[in-house]
Amino acid sequence: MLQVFTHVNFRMMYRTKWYFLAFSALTMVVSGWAMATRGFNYGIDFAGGTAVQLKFREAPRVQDLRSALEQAGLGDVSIQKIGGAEDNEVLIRVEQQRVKGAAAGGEGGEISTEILESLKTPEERAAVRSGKIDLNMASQAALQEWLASRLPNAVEVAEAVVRYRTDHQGLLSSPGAIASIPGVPPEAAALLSAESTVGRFALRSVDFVGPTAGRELLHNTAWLILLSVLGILVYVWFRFHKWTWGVTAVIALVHTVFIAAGMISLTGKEFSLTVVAALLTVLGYSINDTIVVFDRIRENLRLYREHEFEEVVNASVNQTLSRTMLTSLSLIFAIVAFLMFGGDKLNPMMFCLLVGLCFGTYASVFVAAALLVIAYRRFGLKYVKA
Amino acid sequence: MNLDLRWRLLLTFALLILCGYVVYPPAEQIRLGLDLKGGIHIVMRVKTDDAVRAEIDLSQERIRSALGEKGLAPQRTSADGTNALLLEGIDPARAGEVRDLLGRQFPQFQASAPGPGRLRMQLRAADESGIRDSAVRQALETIRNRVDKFGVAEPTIQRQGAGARADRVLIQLPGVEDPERVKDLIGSPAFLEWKLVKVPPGIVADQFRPPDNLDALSQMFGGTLPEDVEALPQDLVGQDGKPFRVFWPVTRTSPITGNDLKNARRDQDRFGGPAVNFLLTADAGRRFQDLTRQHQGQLLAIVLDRKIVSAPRINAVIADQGIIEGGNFTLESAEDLALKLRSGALPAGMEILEERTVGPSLGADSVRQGIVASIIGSIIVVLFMLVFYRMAGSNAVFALALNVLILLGAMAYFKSTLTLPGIAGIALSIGMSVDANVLVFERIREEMRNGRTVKAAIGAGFEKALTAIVDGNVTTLIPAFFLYAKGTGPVRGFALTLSVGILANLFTAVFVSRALFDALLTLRPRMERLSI
Repeated sequence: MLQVFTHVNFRMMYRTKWYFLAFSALTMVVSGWAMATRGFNYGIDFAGGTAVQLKFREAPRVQDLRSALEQAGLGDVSIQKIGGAEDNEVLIRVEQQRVKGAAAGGEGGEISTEILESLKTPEERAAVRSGKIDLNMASQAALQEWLASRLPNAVEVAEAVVRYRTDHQGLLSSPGAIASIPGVPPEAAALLSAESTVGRFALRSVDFVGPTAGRELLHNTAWLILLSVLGILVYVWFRFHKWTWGVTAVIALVHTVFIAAGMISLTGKEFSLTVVAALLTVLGYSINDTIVVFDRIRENLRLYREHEFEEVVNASVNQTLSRTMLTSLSLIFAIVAFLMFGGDKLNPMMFCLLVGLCFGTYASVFVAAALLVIAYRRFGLKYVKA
Repeated sequence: MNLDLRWRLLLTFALLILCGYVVYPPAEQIRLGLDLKGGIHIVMRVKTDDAVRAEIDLSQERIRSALGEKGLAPQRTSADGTNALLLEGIDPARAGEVRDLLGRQFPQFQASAPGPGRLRMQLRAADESGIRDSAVRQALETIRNRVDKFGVAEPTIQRQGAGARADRVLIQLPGVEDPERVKDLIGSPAFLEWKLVKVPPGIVADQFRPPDNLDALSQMFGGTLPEDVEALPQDLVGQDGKPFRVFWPVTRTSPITGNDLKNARRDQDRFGGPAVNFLLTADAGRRFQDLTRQHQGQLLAIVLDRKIVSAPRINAVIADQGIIEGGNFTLESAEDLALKLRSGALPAGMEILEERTVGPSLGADSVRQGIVASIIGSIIVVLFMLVFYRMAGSNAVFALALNVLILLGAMAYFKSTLTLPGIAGIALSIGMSVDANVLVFERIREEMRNGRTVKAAIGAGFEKALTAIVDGNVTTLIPAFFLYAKGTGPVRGFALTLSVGILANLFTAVFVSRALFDALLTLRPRMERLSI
């Protein structure tokens, strides 16, 4: 029988609790300091602006990109390499909202067009003007339309090219790649080689969030967190009937979420909507963990009435330790798998979950239970059977 | 095996089959969100102020002529804000008469007199919100039309928001990958007008060259433009490739507009370049015929969204068919203009509030990464459970697998959308589903340590762990519920998979896992040791 902590009896609720509480307080101070001085690296969801993700054929020089964008008058531009070194991917972010005099369909969202235009080389622009098509930028519909007047089997060829491109991270790596696309007959390949260009980058994604939308989202998020905390408060109050239990549980909860948010700020990871989702999940999970511990304390208080309060709490914490560790570990496995293999997009969310779960598990014992002991000492309360 | 247990196992088995049936094949049954499939998501705001202003402009004309007929015309009328008109210089002796007439003929306005000889006509709130509402509905209709003609599979086009924010339109086009074209296609009003060019006095139409600034244009007319003439810009590209802008003097009124079109399609101009061919309705065709006959030799400007496309000379009488050329068209832009003209003009300008485009290659990468991460995570969790709980662990693994199957089955059945955070939600709910099993197993171990028989320990384990399981699930559900109710986009997908996963977990951990233990006990009633 493989077990963790079968007959353990760590003395956690006596003098040691003060060390852990001090550690928690210190971590909270660091988190608070980070949030107060560094703030958050707000993602496009909240800050608004435009983000364009591009994949280049060859490793792009950030300096060149920056000067091209500055020449186009795009102002404050942030350029960030993403993924591995051989991925050649960059994320370009522009905070500016609108280019003066730019023409597009509706208002707003013109910046992405500007970014794409300004990054094309003069040769590429000339090629497009002379009627050539850029195989890395053209959509399937556009390619099909372009081919329709030149080939009988435009639909199949366009589909084959786009399928090949999608399988190769959205990019033909060189003009020579055209010949090797399966499903493209030689005469079509010859036509494409002669009359198309292979641009130096492909568009992976565009995000634009207008100033109103960002503000509304921030407002909405604040509500979301408030409602969740209120909901949990009501539930805890309903389950334990005693305000001390409710308050200590909620202090542990706030502690955990505060630290999770603080670590996001400290590491400078992007604060996006998925991070909010992570914070809310941490909220739910850590209260769950605390309730399991509290449940056991209450049960044991009924069983061992003649024992000291600390003793009962300490025994309860030890009894639930095995479960707490197993559950947290299995969750941590799932999260670490995502951190390692799940791609860049969810990285801040998973990081937040990881920090939140670790601290949430820790806080159920060393904050919630410890504070409960202190409260009972301080106020001389007695547990009365509910 | 007792009857009750048989039913429980049967129900579990039936659920397994049912979910498997609903989910298979997953590639077709599970709807992927735009972040996984690739596509465009746009939230636009209809600038309903435009529609209100247009209504005010129209009323201004009608009020003027209605009053003019009775010889009551005010000296000046002007718009006052977005939703009101100001009439000034009304004959004070006949002010009552004016008010009576306006009250009768224009009941949508509420009149007030800010001073002698002045009248302020404000659009009533109900009428104003009616105008705004119908502008949004009309915009929705037009966009739907355009998207249909563009040919997108399974588009989502719906009105969003409530109250003051009811002017939002959500557009989702899966599989579409060129945002610039789409934005132009659905966002530009495409209001087409034909206006006669009013050449300045003393210049022959053929020799008129529009100047590049407004002052020069008014100088040509001797300082100010005539009342019935307005200046509209034309954007051109010079020999050196630099863009520049000129201004044309054209009539304020538009004898023919896009509303008179019967059809439009892409065509070729004389040189084989792209152009747009149009067909007018019979009635408009007659008007066009009269117009071109009367004004032969003059210039006729084609105006799109208040910008001149071109201003060709009227060489012959044109009836109901014509061509729009010289607008620097490409194949694509000519095609798109024809499409927009066929689907009708938008009643107001549009503002893009949010745009998210995900290329299909990025979506495919996300799906791959999400699935790989989930599978690796699940394998570790499964191994972990088997190592720690042996035989009982396999029970948990079965419950876990059923859990995922139920989750996917519910997604497929309710046609919910799976997003990238949604995949993370599934992985997380796999991790969490272990919790309920752990709670039960640890209790069973404890009970066995306290000397209970296997059967009693299992019974007590499930019973005592129940409150903690319910508590744990409810508290995790609370934030997930709010996130689903108030959240947007991909994050909602996370809340959804997490919540459904938790509910499925509650069922499998309490009901299915128990049934499996009971089945084991029935098979070996005298079991003295349990592999846990």
